[in-house]
Amino acid sequence: MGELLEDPPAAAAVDEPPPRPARALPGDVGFWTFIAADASLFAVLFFQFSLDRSSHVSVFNEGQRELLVPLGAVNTLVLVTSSWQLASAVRSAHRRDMAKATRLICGTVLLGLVFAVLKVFEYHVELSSGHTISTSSFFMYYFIITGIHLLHLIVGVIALVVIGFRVRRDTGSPRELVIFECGASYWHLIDLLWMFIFPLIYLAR
Amino acid sequence: MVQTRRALTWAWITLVAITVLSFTVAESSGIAGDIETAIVIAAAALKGRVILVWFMGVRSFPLAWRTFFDAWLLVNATVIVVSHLIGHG
Repeated sequence: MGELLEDPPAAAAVDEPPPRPARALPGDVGFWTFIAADASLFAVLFFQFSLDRSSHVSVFNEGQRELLVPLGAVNTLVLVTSSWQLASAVRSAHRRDMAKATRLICGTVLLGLVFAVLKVFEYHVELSSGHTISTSSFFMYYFIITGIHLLHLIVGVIALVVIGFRVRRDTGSPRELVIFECGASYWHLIDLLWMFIFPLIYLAR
Repeated sequence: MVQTRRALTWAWITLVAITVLSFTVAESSGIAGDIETAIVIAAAALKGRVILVWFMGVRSFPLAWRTFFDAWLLVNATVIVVSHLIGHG
């Protein structure tokens, strides 16, 4: 925490936000409201999936057997590793080691792209096997939930590319750190959501 | 809240270990469906907690936000497990 309280460069003094209280959200409160709303939306989807599954167990189990579970597991490892990289990048940025933070952001972006490529390959395999959004209620949920999640991930990758360039410029402005923390929190949300999507859709029987 | 490098690395190792463990449990054929579901969803909630605490720094959040995210984890896990138990019933 000590590093957080270091004096910012004088050039950034005009841009400096008020000191953060002992208990505060990283980034921006408004952005956290968006994160909470987004998490709630997924909670509703998980609830609806679970409700429908309880009335059509055999349909959901049959659909689940067609999924590439090891690929889902690999993607879980990819996402948790990306989150670790990004949390380390935030730490580096707080320590004013912007070169390392930029490298770690690049690593996170690459892992995000790996996730997206594996997911597109998975969709290709499912579609080639004749499983579409209209095949069954299971596949409807599969494509909708994982599709919305993939969309979130793509937005996250784009945001991190932009943030990576800003961090690399290293203006020394505390506002840059706030933007970075918002982006990192969004990426961790994507990871958090996948922690439930993977077992719910691929594993739980 | 910014974590130490060691704490972040341990969090990552924990996440990898739980993922491998829950995948192994789910792929093993000798476990009943409802028990398997309870294990993999409990593992998901545990991983969610690790992400919230070590990567997102939830412990330094104001009480209302901490409560929201704790409730989010608990409600999701409970709804999924209970609905699976009803389905098996």
